Amino acid sequence: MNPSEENLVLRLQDPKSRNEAFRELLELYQERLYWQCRNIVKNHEDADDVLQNTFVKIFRNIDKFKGESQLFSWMYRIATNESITFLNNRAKKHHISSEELQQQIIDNLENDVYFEGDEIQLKLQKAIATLPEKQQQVFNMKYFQELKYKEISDILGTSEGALKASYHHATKKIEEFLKQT
Amino acid sequence: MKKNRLPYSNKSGFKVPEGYFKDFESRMMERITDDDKEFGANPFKVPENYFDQLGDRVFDKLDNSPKKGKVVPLFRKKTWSYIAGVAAVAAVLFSSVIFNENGEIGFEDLDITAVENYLLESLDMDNPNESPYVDYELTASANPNIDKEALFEYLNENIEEPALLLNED
Repeated sequence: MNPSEENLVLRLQDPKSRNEAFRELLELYQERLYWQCRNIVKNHEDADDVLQNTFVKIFRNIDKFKGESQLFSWMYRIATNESITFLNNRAKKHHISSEELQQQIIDNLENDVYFEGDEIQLKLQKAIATLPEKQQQVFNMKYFQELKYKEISDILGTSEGALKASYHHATKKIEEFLKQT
Repeated sequence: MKKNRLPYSNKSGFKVPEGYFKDFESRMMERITDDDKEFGANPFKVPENYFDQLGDRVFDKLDNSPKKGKVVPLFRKKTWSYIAGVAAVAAVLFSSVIFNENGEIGFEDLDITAVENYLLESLDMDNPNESPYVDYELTASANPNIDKEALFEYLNENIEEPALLLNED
């Protein structure tokens, strides 16, 4: 952790300064975490729900953060887990598979007021939905959020080499999907 | 940086718009970043001012969401010791029925299963200290066949906290 992050964590762990520090944390990371959630759940309202749950979890568990990883990676992991859990629960609730749910979500994008993609971008989303879960995550983090491999490696606990290979495979599959459709 | 400039001849007649080179770098970087996205830019949008109120909404949720409660194990050691107590009492009652030879009216007239059920139903798992047999007095037994020494020995061996059973907190 860098010194400013360390200081922020200390203030978050101190009940006296916790609320003020948490507002700072929100300011600093809300957009980045929002896009992490949004890229997984796709819909704005769902991303909003998941993001708020993510921050509630961060607030409640900040005492357990031991500084063994970057604060940013730790929060990203929570956001990622929350998003995936959200999707799994929804699939279970509707008695459908995760793949079927993904398909439904992508189909709904065409009528989503907060999706302004053209035909190619919609196809891109359909292509991403065909990727294995890990490749989807790597592609979203690298392509849309422009995270560094080092950062993605910290978040997903995967080596940079494996991530590069994963991203390469993902782009190839997407290219193929776009050519075929 | 002057060294990097190519000689510019005023005679060529070419001119550049004023300030052209001033923001060239930023425009170029923007272009490069866009071109990098071979599949296009992020098509997802966010409602206007969404992030302005997010902090307040998260704090509202923090105030209203249930806090993590203390995890209470379903079966505690204490609870098991009480169950052992119930079993011991039931065993004594049962043995008194089987081996009671003097024909006197006693516990044998009771339905053993009903007694067991009553004791188990009365056991408050959330608050074992309120269990009815905490106040049960061993000396109150009317059955002369019960060997009190043996009973104490049995309870001492089988119950982790006999003091609780004997109401000696």
